[in-house]
Amino acid sequence: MNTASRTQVAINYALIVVCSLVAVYPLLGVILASLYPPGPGSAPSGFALPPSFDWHNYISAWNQGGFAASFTTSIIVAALMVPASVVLSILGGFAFATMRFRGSRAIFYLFILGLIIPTEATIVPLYYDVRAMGLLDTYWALILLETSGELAFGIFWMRAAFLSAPRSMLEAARIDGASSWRTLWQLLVPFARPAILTLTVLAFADSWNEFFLALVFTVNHMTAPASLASFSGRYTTNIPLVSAGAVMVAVPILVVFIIFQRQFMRGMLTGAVKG
Amino acid sequence: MIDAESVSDVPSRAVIVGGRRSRQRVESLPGEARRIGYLYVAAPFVLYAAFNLVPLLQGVNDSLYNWDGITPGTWVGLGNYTDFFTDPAIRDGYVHVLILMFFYSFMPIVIGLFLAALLSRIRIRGLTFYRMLLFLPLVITDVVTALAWTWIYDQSGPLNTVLKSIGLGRLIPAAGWLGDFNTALPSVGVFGMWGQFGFCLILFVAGVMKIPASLYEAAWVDGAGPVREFFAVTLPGLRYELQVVLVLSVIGTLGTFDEIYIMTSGGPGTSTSVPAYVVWQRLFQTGQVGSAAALGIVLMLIVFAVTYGLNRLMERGAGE
Amino acid sequence: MAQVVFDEVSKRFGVVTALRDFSLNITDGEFVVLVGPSGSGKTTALRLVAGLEALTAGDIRVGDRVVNRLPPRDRDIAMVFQDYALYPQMSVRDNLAFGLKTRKMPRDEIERRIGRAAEMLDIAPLLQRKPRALSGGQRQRVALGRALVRHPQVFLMDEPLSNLDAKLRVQTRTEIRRLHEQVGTTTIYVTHDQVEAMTMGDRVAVMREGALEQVGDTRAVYEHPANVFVAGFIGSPSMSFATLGVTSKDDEMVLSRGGVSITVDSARGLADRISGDVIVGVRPEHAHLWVDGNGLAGPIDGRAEYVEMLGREMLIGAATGPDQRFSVLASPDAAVKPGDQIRFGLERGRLYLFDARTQQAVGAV
Repeated sequence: MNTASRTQVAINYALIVVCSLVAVYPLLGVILASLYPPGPGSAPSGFALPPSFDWHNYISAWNQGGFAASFTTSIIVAALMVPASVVLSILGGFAFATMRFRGSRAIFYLFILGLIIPTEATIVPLYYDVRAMGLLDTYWALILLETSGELAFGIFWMRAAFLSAPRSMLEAARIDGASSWRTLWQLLVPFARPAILTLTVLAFADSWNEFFLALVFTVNHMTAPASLASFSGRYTTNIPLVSAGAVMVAVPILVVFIIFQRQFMRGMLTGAVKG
Repeated sequence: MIDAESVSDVPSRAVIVGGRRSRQRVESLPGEARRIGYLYVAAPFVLYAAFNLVPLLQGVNDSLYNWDGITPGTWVGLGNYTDFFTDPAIRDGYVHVLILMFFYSFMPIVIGLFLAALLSRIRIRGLTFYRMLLFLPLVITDVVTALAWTWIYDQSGPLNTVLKSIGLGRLIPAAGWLGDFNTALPSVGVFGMWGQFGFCLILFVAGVMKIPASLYEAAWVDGAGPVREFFAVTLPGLRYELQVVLVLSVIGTLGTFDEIYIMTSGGPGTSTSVPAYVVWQRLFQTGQVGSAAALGIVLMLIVFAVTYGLNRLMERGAGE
Repeated sequence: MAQVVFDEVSKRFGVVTALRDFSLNITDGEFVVLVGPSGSGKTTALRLVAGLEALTAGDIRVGDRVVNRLPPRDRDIAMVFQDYALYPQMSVRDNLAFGLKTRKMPRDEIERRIGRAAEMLDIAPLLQRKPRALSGGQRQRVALGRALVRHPQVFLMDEPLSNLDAKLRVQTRTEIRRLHEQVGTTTIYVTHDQVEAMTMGDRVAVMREGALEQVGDTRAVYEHPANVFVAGFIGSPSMSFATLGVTSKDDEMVLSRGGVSITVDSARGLADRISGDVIVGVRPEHAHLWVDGNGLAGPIDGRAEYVEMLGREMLIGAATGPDQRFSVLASPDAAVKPGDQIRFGLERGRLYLFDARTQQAVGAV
């Protein structure tokens, strides 16, 4: 039963390859399209290669789509949101995993609630709140909202990671006289390094890919996905041009994914464990 | 040796939601730092409360008013909620996500199961590479993938080219796949199906690997054919993964927004409107802010109900 | 170094009582072993001294301080855990230094202590390595080192040898004893293995179900067990027991039931202390195959149920009646096979008598 026949092996490979192609094809199509000469009506109609490899689309798209500004915005937002959400998740997860204080269970459940509260439920009041704070169309709106949005999962994730630390190690630290701060940063954080890396990578993905919040809260200081949407709205028929923009927006997250694919998969597959 | 953790209040590694709340006095260990726990939790909690919890309450409040966002609103109590039964725009939104669930949730699961069953449990070389490819649809920004599919659906795009070349050109709607009242929603659905199937496949393949080989061998010895084997060994063995994927995908579908915005703007007409999009419209375009808030609240309640219901359903199934 | 006193200490976990009115005086510099089966409360007692659990009643004193409310770090104790509990991401050197750095010890003092401990435990070449690059025995020594460098008043050891293989266990046992002789710190050592207890402790405290059954030095516990439990727990192969009826006349007692009927000299007043049946316990090494004129109590006839070759000797399990069994140690040349009828006798003066009802020792004949 364990030795598969040649045909079984062949079928396996065939299936996997076909599925992978299906998964990848649209993205390949976008790359292909970006190499076509710009202008309406110019786009891959099948699997044909473009008449010429027109790299200029990328330069035009970069300039006309204002991607310099929006990439900067996305990078700044991510650069602040990711460390903030990871650190806050570490602090919260640590407290829930190792400390006993009255109401800790209730507060933890409140955080878990965040896993099922959809953004739509709070977007309306949030809009007016942010506006009242004078933070509309600023980096801070996105940073604060994305960080806060990541906390539910982040705290759940870090708590689980810290809970898997051997209890005797923590007891030895208590006997050695380590303060909670020292125990967290010198023992638990090194122990949970893989989990922290996974959280970092997932938080980055969530931030970079965030569209709805960007749409609602920014007008002139858009993030990359939002400016891509706006760009495509302005040049709807110029598919090659917009594709170039799309490829550029996809590249950062693609690179991060390729480098950290193990972390991504671990996070997405096991992070799906909910009660 | 009695384990203190089993009787004290320490949060355990056990599954969270649904646990019975037992009120026990928490006795402190010598020199245990208790108050400091609040300090650690304070930082994330303050942010979270400010931007998630408080707005939730505000949203409930906002939903009780008719408000255009500029002038003061007028109280309507549960008026925005009863609109549910009267306003077709709202109802349609939910009907549409229900339809989308077929594509976003049901089909990827079926495809994933089918393929996972077909793939016999042998090592595939380079699996990491294929896994990476299969994950891409979910990882790449969905503005990008939605645009990609918009172009696939384009009148002179690859889909139509292929259809014409095999003689099915008459299937192509005149207004385009995304422009035709009947095909727009399913077209978005197919996009979603593409996005989710890779994840399901990988999850199920991993799950199948965890099923002990001895179960398959026992079935084989019992003379079970592939179909019987699937229902007797594979499917029950994937119960947990199925539950997880079902809950996640159903909830995810309820919040669909990005692709609707990019591909159809809710159109043509309102044939692809979804609750999240209606919320956005009412907030920014039609000045029905109170109604938008109510829609958001209802969406949350539905998510709660679905999570709870699905979990109960799966628990019951597991008990058999 | 200091004495440790348990004064009527009790510990409850919810409805479960893990330790019940436990009292024990451990003198300065002593090596005391708490031994007993799981659930006996020995680990609980240790963790109470460490401050890893809070006691429900009673007092624990280290030195002359009552430490009940003190956190572990202020009790001047060090602990060696069963799974070593080394800090996985730190080098051995940093593991050793950790407890000293948290106490703000000056750098050169830390270095000095690490150097000395590394030399004593022969772990100097390992200082740069991380725990995962060490073998079980090496990790154990690092754990010992971590406790050593602290120069505490008391060492607490929680089954430190359980995770080692048999040969390593014997080796490390000797090392720990050697360390104790060198350093002399009061040590409380917990184990479920009575062989370990007997070889390592100055005194042995036998525990069961949260209570202290008997405490004494190894000879006392072995040769004068206070009750049936201690008698059966200590010693390997373990003592045989049989419940027999007593009839006494003049200076003699006849102990009989089933296939056993032996006549023994009754010690003065012994018969008066016995009411009802007695449980007779005899260690296998005091049960010998019968040779006429050997002065043993007996003869007792039985059927050999099993025969174990122990190399140096042969252990015969003999059934003498319904539910009545004795273990007999014989020379490896004895021609006994399972199923054979054998005749054996018991050494006089080595028969322990226990009251069948209270299980307490009443004397030896």
